[in-house]
Amino acid sequence: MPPKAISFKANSIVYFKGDKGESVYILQKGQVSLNYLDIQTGQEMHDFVQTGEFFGVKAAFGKYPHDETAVVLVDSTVIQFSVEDFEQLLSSNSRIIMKMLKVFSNQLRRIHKQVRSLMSGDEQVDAEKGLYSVGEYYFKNKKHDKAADAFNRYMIYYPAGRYVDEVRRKIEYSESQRGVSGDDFSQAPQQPAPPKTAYTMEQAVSIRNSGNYPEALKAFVRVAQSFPDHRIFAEFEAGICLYKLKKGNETIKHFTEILKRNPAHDRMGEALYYIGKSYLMIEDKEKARGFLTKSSSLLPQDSPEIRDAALILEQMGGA
Amino acid sequence: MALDLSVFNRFAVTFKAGSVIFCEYEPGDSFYLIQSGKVKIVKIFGDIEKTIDILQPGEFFGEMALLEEAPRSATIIAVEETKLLEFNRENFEILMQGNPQIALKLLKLFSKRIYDQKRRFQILTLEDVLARVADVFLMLSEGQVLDEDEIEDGRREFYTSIDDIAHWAGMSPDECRKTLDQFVSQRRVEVFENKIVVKNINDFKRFVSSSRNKQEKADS
Repeated sequence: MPPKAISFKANSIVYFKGDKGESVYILQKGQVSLNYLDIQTGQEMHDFVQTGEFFGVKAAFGKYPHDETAVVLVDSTVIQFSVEDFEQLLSSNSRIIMKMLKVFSNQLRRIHKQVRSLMSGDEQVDAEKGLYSVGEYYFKNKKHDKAADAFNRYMIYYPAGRYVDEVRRKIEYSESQRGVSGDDFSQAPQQPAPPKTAYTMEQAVSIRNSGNYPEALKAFVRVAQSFPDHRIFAEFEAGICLYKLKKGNETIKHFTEILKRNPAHDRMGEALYYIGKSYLMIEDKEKARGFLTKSSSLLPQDSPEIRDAALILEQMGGA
Repeated sequence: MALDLSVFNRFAVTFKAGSVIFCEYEPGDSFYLIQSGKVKIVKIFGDIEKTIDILQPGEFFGEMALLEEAPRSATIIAVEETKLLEFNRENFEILMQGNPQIALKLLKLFSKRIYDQKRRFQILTLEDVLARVADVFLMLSEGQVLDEDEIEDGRREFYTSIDDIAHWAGMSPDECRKTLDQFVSQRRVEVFENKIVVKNINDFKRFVSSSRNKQEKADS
């Protein structure tokens, strides 16, 4: 069915709520209102479609029932597309897709929030315990590679967490068993268990200086575990590696944990700086501004970090 | 996949078979596109590791992290040696703009997620626990593919664990079990080792809609 223009009289209906979605529509001329009940308040809502705007897309994509009734307010012309034709149209126009992606992702974010707000408290398992229990599952089932992977991640995010002693012990055991047994990928060529790579602080630093941040992250986490004297430094450097790897949320989490445990950390300013920069990375400008401002009051006067923070704050304006 | 993604090669990362790409509960903000190999999505429920899906080249995962700062909701494991492209928020847009096919796929996925989440929300707004559990079965039945005889007959079988049902209904497994027991004693539901049978899904439909109507009246 090629796209076709359909004329609608005022007060007619393009589709009813509950009708199965089969086509996508564009309002060419006139006025259409999408009427639905707000799922949270139960209030009747009216969204007006702009000329040139699509409607009915979500339902058509999944062949779901429409959530809304499309009411024609004045005599209008609507172009009706089959899903295939609509896809064809989109695939040559990434600007429209990007716009729709933004609209959909906003809707999705909102509905996610609404769902979560209704979940009972015990549904929201705490993430630390959750991550620990993933490692624990693989450990119990002797899948040592995965147990080590999961526990090593635990150490990155919760270097002073509730299960840290146990996790450290289990990493050691799992690492020694790596590739030995119990893994369900036995058809893959078995790699000989790599010798347990013990890094020294110097090695970790030189890996970091070479710019190999994924490896440096591993090395610093390992050093933090094996050398209590170097722990504070290594943990901090691991956080910087996370930042260099552009892992914004991870960096925030990592440094927040460090500061929580050590509220008088002597590199507090630097930690706040990296938290601020990470918020910038995940586009939370308000928090970025807050953390960078705070870091500026703590960083040494001539450090590159303080200059960078000042520059960013200036660009953001109104700091 | 006939896409030329070579410009994105600097985002390539390789994982060995069996290695964990990310862990459930881990914070994260990367989005991944599979170039070669296979990954499986797993979740651990108590003592069981459940494989939720297996993804192939051209498919992607981790997209929720681009939307919100929630921990990862599942663990992703490489099934064989797997090459991925890893994107963060900044370069995600560049990828989407240059690759409408991928963007379209994501758009469809979002449509489905919005629909699913709205459906979940409807369940959670029910105050009566019996109605909430009944509505979970309705939701599950909406996703079932049935032949005509089965549609005629209102009996429906669900190979879903009580924990899962409790999760959808937003209650504890214990509370869910008690609620199911009530249905069992009314002979509307049978609970077996590996499945739950709803004897008449149409009866559940009427029950849920009358419960919803009552609630709306009381609210207004």
